Amino acid sequence: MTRRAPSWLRAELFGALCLGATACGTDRALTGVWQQVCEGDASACTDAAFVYKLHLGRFGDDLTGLVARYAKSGPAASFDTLRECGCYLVTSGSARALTTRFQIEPGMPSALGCPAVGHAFSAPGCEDAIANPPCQAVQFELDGESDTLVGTMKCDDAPPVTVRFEPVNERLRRTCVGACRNAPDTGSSE
Amino acid sequence: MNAPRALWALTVVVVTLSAALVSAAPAPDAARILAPPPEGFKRPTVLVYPLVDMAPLAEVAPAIVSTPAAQSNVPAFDAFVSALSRYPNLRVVTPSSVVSRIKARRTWLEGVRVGAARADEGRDASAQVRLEDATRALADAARVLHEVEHAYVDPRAVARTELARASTLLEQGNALEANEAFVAALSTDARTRLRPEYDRAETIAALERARLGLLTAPRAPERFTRWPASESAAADVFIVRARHHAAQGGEPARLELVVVSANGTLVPETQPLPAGVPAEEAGGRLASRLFACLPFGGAAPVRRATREVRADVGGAGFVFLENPLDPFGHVGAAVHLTTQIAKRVSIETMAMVSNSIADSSAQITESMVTLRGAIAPGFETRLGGARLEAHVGLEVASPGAFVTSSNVYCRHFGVPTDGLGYQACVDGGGLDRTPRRVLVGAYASLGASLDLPEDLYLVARLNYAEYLFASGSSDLGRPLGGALSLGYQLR
Repeated sequence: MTRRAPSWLRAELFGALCLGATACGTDRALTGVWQQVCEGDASACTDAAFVYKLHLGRFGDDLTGLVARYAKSGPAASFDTLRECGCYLVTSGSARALTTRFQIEPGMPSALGCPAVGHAFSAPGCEDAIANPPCQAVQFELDGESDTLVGTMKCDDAPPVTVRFEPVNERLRRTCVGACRNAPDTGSSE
Repeated sequence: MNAPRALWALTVVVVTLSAALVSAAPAPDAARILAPPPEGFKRPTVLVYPLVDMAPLAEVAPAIVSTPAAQSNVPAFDAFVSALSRYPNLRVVTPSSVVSRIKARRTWLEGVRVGAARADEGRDASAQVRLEDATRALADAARVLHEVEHAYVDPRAVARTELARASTLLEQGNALEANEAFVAALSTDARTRLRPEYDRAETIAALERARLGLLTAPRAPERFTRWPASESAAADVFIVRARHHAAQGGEPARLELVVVSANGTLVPETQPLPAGVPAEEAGGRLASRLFACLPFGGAAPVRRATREVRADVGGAGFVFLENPLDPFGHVGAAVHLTTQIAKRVSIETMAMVSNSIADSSAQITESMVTLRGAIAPGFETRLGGARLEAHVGLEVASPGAFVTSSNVYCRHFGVPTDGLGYQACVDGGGLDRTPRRVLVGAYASLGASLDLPEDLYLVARLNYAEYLFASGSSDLGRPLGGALSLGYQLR
């Protein structure tokens, strides 16, 4: 775990002058929580069974984080924690210029950070979705940086569908433990 | 021991002791007074002004003499100056040097110019019978000339100005003020007279009345006992002014003298000059009495440099130019103490604590707290309300542990140390850890400060260091940064 200076010290120090102008421009854009938007022309939402929330961390050209999946109950997206149905590690992430690429692998033996299949999520149909994942891998290719991420989401070899994400002011999740109820975060390897 | 032998030994002891006592005896007072002062002795300065000879006051038609004002015709006064100058503990400035000193003042030349111009204006106005303008201009002229002590340089010119003023006042019918102006003219130059063939009879009579009145009841003008406005005040400077009075009504001639100090202390002295007493003796006695009332002097005060201490606190930041990653910033707080040890020399002492901010690729996984301290002598100069300073010295720095990782999972999720977390952060997180170390090197800073009210100041500094020694391997160096601080000037 990254060690941090005490909060009072950080507050003092960041309140001080930032004279190292070149060092102040750390490339952390994209880092944060992005929530899928279903309004407008977002075909992925209309017929899809799931919507996604991205908890991304960008480090220069590298990208990682977690993607939380939520089961839909109607045409609108719902990000109620009770409807959470999968939490996956972002792999193969990259962020160059304004294009961001990454994938998640729901077909892996278990979602990273979660216990065995079907034990965690109680949303209707979720156990089945985890036991028989509709995609082995979901690939995202998104454009944008600050206000909106717009691009495509592709399930295995299926044709890509358009998706749109907007930032939400939420705490960035760095673990799936909260989603995996009644079970310790035993972790899993890639 | 037999008796003769004991007597002999006793004699030897007595003689030896006597010789020792004689050699150890203190020198006589006179010898001590006249001995040259030791090195570094601070001598009081005595400005002996030219003698104002009032003796011609007694003459109805004194001869006009052309001797310089600084040169007296009174041998006793010359003897007095000579005797006073022989005291080695005093720095006596002779009358001629005092005149040079007066003429060397910047105010003198301007005062004479203005005074002469106003006197001319007054005389012109008087000729045109604009008496009010004339008296005003002549009064201005006399005041200015007295202020710059021109009466000791050219007493006759100043007296003629006073005389013109007196004549104009008399024409105005102001007999009282006219008499004071006549007295002022005579007190400045006792040879001042009017000419019957040119001047009005009533004016001549008024001057004569003033002369006789002054002769009967001598009185010194106020400026005689006043510290001159054009002379800077100093505690160890004394002014001696003297007037010579002729024998009158059975009283012998005399020297009237006053010692004026900047703090207003007055010491009057009078030395009779009876006939038959040598001038040297009279002058010597007067000098002796004056010597007794003047301070002896003493060790020169140790010149202490103004030890001004300035303390400021503010924000600071820097970048290690020598750095394995892209340059990343360190921001923190800095305290500077600057001690001025001479007029333009000071020592800067700096202490700084800073924390790293994220590098552009966020490879640093732990905040790096860096401590820096420096001591650097240098120069500074003031430009109005601002100050520029430059210091070069020694810096000791201690950058904190420098921990980086190239593994994006470790950077985002952290290194799993408790059995929980994501095993994607593998191989120890790909961490590269350089422990805290100590660096020593040369330090340089440039600063500019701006004075604020209440002894506060705002200062901006640029600093740079070149490390020459490291306690271990170090890939950080050449910090370049700056600080903006608010300070208080202690005295």
